[in-house]
Amino acid sequence: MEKIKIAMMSMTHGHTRKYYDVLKNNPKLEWIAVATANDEVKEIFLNSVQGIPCYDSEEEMLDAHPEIEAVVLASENSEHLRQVKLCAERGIDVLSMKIPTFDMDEYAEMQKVVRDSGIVLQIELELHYNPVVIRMKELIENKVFGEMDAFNATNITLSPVWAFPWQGVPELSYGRRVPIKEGHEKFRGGALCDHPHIFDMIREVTNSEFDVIFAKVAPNIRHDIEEEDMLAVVGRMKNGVVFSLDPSWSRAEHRLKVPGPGWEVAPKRMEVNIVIHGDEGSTFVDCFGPNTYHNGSPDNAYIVQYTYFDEWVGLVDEFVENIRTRRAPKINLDWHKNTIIAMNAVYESIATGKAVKL
Amino acid sequence: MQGKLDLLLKKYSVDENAELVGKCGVKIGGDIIPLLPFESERRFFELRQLVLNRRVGNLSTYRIGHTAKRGEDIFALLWRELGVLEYTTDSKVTEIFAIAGKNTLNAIAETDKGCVCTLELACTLEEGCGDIDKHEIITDNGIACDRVVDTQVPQSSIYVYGKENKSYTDVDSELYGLSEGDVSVIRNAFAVAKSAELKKHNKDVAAHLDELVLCAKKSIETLENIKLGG
Repeated sequence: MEKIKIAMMSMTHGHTRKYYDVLKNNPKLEWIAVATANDEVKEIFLNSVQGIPCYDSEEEMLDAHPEIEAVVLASENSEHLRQVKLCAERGIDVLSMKIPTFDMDEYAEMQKVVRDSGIVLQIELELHYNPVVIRMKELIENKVFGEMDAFNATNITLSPVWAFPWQGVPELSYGRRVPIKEGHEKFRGGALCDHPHIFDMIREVTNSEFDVIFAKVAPNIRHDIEEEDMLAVVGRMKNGVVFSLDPSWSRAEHRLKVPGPGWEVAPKRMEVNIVIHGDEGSTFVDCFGPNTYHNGSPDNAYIVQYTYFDEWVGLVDEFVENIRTRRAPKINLDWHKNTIIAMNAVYESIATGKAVKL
Repeated sequence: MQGKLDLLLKKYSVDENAELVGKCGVKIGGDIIPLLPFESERRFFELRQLVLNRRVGNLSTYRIGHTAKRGEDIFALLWRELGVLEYTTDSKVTEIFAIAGKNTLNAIAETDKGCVCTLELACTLEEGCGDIDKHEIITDNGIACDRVVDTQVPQSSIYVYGKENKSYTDVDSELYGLSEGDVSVIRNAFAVAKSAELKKHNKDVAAHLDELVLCAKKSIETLENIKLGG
């Protein structure tokens, strides 16, 4: 089978570097080119990857390489609709970052563009391809702890805003500048916008949709950013499963411009832990553990050594298969819509101080 | 347990006739004083010291998870964990939203210091399995936690792998042989027996926690965020 000719756009997203290995090493892909959004990310890319043509303009790249069949949109959320349109006009399939848009009118427009053009649009929710999660789903399927009663999960990380500045700008992350609640100094667009995974995962494993959501914003642990970094969410699914979701930026970081050793303070950059209670027991899941630790350079802090991005292997394999078979991706715009609606409901609950019934 | 309490009373010449009433109270001079065992549990004392001594920064969030045995009262668990929250942060809960499953309860509580706390509670474990709990305080200058870094479940001091696998966690040499939970019950009863001030404190805190649990029950019924006294 001929290799799929793939490109990347923008290169401003925090997950950009996670595609380097997989685009080079997946035998079913041929990495044609990238288009960078600015000189800073261009320099980072050129220092990281050799031998891939790098353009300053998306149109210039697409004109120079009409053979491009698929593009990874490694961009800020505010760019997604424009880039999806650009790709759809040329019949190019798209792998989008995890938040297509928070604006539901834009979301509907994006759905229409994809439907009318017939392109494949897959949304990057890599947790589905994590081996621990695959095992967890198997345990749920086999009802090893009976019928599910509660699903509690963290999706907590350091804040990426110093390395990926757009995530600290409400207009680029959330799409608009909206105060988190009346009289509050912080704006929507922070930690919540970075962490859709657990809002998506609970829908799949409960086979149900959100019913009630209540959320509170907590005092920021980073006082000098414009957006929320700490929040708590609880509620209930339509099938009665109760949940508690923590999508905070609650791990501290050193303010590096380029992620690398010493980015995390301690002990790690990211945690996705899931606790599921059933009527016959409980299960505790650490999706990214156990780990290897050290307290060597650069900070002599006790931290996790974690440098592999297994999830992207499965994610890109599925994208390739979807393109070749013209199959709808598992995480497509139609499926993902209720996840985005739930995340918007979190902001609504924070703003009103009331539970949101969906 | 009564014998161990008597031993402490005698050793330290505390002239009170203190009689344990289950694990929830102590009868002293005809008066039953509610116990707050968590205020005498070392890990919570240490968390409180970290907050009071400013070893960590301004409070932001507090993550509490506690999974207990099947058949236990989820609201008794909530009572205890709200007590842990208030004791370790030296603050009072002012509002609470709660939602309940069959054997589970999740809540968000906010304290008068602005700390937003999630409580994830369940009574699902089989007999013979120790409680699984974790308390993590997140501040603008560090995190304090009563569990080993990057672990999901409590660890023990000693693990024996032989014909029978066993583990041990001994926390008090004067009360050697008792579980961590029983030790904290006796320590709190002993502290109350020694102090008139603590007798009043325990009664006041217990009444306040009773009121908070009522607020949580009201929230479960109404799906509203309930403000204390509101």
